[in-house]
Amino acid sequence: MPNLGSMSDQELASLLDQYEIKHGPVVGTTRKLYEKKVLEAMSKEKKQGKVKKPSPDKTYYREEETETFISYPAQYTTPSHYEVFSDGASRYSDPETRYSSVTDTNTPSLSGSPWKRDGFGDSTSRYSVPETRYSSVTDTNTPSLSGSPWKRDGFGDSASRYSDSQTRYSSVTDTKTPSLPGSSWKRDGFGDSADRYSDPQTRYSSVTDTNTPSLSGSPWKRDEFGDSANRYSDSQTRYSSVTNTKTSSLSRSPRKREGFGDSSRQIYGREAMYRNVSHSNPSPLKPSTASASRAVPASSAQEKAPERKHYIPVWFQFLIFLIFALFLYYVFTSMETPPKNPFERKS
Amino acid sequence: MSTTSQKHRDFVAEPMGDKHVTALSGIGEVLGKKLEEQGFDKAYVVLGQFLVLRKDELFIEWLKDTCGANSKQASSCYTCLKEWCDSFL
Repeated sequence: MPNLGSMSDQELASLLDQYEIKHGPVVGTTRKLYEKKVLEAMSKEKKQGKVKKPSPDKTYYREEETETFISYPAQYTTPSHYEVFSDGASRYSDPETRYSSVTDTNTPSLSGSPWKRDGFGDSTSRYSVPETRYSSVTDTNTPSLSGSPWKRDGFGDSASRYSDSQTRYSSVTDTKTPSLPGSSWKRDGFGDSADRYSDPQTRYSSVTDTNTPSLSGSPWKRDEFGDSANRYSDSQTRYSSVTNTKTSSLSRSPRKREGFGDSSRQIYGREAMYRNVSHSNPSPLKPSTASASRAVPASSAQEKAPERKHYIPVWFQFLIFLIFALFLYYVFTSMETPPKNPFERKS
Repeated sequence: MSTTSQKHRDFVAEPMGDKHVTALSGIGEVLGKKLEEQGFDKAYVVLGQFLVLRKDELFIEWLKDTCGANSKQASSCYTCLKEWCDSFL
């Protein structure tokens, strides 16, 4: 450590610049102060040099921002931000879309290729299409995976699913159960006999998982979840609901669905995280409708919450209210007439 | 909603001229004496120091070191001088 006392003013000034300390001229009265500052900076540096910063967490990608999805041009390149996670599943974390979905299945076969496709274990092919933000996964017994055209989610087995980017519709049919023919607009077909809808405006994607851990994630902004979890996360409302049902359930609720990590790990958004996980056998419609009803007020409340800003101070609002109330009181009292005998004869 | 003292408002209201250092907000008798010993007998000398330190919050530290003021007093003096500068400088 150089002897600060013996340094000239200019040298001290250059030292201050070195440590990026904002300073004025080093004169007689300021010298002592600046020497002290430089000493502090030196000792801080020594301390910092010993402590290393922890490495960033790579496993999960958390939904933290309000705006999570950004449309991307279609590209058919290998996905960026492809991370391999510890449990064998390869997950896709796309920073812009903030989508990471992982499903862990028995067979760690992963067919992922289209751009922004999340590869998941097993025989699921899941896609996250940036524009449509659709990722659909179906997991079936046979680890056959057809991954294919851009914006088409390939699903295992005999599911035929597609996500239409404009309509954001993906339909999946599963042979096991004579399930849904997807065709309604913005309806995502999901594995098994689940009928799921994703409404992009409402941003809802619901998935029901039945006995077979098939996962058909598809609606726009739907992230897959492992197993038979039915999860959704509404990015605006940050609602994520997971229901495990044994029967095909039909849930139509306008929520954005975000993908979460592996099987039952959900990563929720920052605000109103709503999680409804039921591992029992609820009736198909009940959990979805219950969650739908819960989600709607939550979403409406949540949507209002971030928008609420106090441009006018609260105390002022109260004051105005009080003045108005007093005014009304005055008006009404002045309108009151003293009670008269109604039977008086008018002369 | 003003949280400034009367002294502050008085000082900021007009050019300081030749006011004594104790006219500054936060500087009382004791601190004023200590500053005088250091050579800062007038408010404008302290202003000079404030300006040399580039009107930065370093001034607070300097004041603490020089005359042993506590945080509240030093911040009060800093705010007082800053506002004065905003109006008159």
